[in-house]
Amino acid sequence: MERIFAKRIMVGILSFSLLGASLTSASYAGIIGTQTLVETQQKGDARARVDEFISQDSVQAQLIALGADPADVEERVAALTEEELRELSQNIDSMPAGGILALIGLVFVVLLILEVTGTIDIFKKA
Amino acid sequence: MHPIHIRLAGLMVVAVWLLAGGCASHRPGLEAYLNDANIPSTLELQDTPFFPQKEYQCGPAALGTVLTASGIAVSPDELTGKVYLPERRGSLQLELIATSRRYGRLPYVLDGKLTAILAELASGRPVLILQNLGLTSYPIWHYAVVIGFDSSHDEIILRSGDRKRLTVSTRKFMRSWELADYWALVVLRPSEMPASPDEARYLSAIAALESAGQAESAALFYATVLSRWPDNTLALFGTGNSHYAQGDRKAAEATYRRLLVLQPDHAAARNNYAHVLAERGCHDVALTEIDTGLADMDRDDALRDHLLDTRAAILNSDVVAGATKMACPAPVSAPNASRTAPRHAGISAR
Repeated sequence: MERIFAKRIMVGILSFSLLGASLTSASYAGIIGTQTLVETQQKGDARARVDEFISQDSVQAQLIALGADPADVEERVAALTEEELRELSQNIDSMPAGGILALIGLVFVVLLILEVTGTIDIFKKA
Repeated sequence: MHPIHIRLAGLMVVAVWLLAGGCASHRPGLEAYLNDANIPSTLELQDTPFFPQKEYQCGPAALGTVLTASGIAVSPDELTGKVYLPERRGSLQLELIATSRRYGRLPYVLDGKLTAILAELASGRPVLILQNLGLTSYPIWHYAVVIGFDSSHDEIILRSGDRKRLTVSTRKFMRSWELADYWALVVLRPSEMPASPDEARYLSAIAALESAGQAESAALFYATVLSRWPDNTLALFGTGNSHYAQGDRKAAEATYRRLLVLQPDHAAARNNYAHVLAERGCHDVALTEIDTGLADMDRDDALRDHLLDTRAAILNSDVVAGATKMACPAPVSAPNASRTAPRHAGISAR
């Protein structure tokens, strides 16, 4: 008897947490969000692309792989739009990440010479 | 000439070129950007806070600077866990944008023109920018905050890295900014508008703020849009949604209704209006509204499934009836209905 009761409590807790998970989305069931309308209008009637849902989880995993604290990532992606999530999930490795403290002059000059001599042949045209 | 000689000659040219100030000589100076009468020739937002950057933390430092200037007291340390990516030794632009939203500020990306930065400074707002201090093929990405400019010295004034006041020649600045695709960001307080707003970009920034759970802030921005562009139906729609998100169903209902009177074929407003009506027990009117919306829609409309879902929910009475005792309104005219129909006939007194 007690066992069944405990089981029921477990099921209750589980279904409650599942309900919680489904409610974390910023949109409300039934209501069309402003952002959804904006993105729909931007895409015209390309319905297929609207369906290409990018899950927040996959972007969270990408952030964790780049060293973000797993405890922070849920909130980090929550403030991104669907469009931005898609952009991140596709291009995160090629996106600029601003960080450097100061310019190291010498390295810069060496790089510049490398670039100019290696990739641009200024005298070839003549 | 022998190929090695060509290489050597090339190096010498590069050396002379570097001594002469790099490739910047063809760029115009600050004077060329100062033709707007509203922008002074010299300006410095001296009160802009300064957070000396720790290693690789220019993202948190720059974001902390503009957020604090906009009235949010936040330190770079607090922002590190929100924007910094250790493996990239830096922060992404999109994460700076998302984090501004979390503080209820509106991140607005400026037109990629120096005049846009100058105009923001003239409005009293420092501007967060991305620079590439390296090369296209060897980028060295850096965030800094533009706080002023001085045309007598042809300089841009920055809070950058560990330098509280870094002055850079306009040409050098333009080079580093060009290599970063002229990216510039302001964070606006509720009700603030950029100096020269792009209506569509401003609105989509507000919609994104709203979807980030900042309905209260968003509502104030929508009101600002409506005061400048009273016919903007997207701002009206967003106002309704912000009311709804804040739990003010009555105001949401009234706003959707106002929008439908203005634009009867607004399918999303028709959907949301039907939803709030059903929520307070007006299932019959709700069904009429959703059917009006569906009848007016193309078969391949991206929102059609959404309206069908709402219709099914109304039929199944999934939509929970609220405790409101307000009378149910009459339906809003369908798009093709006669314009002479009394517009407010349905809104009855309690």
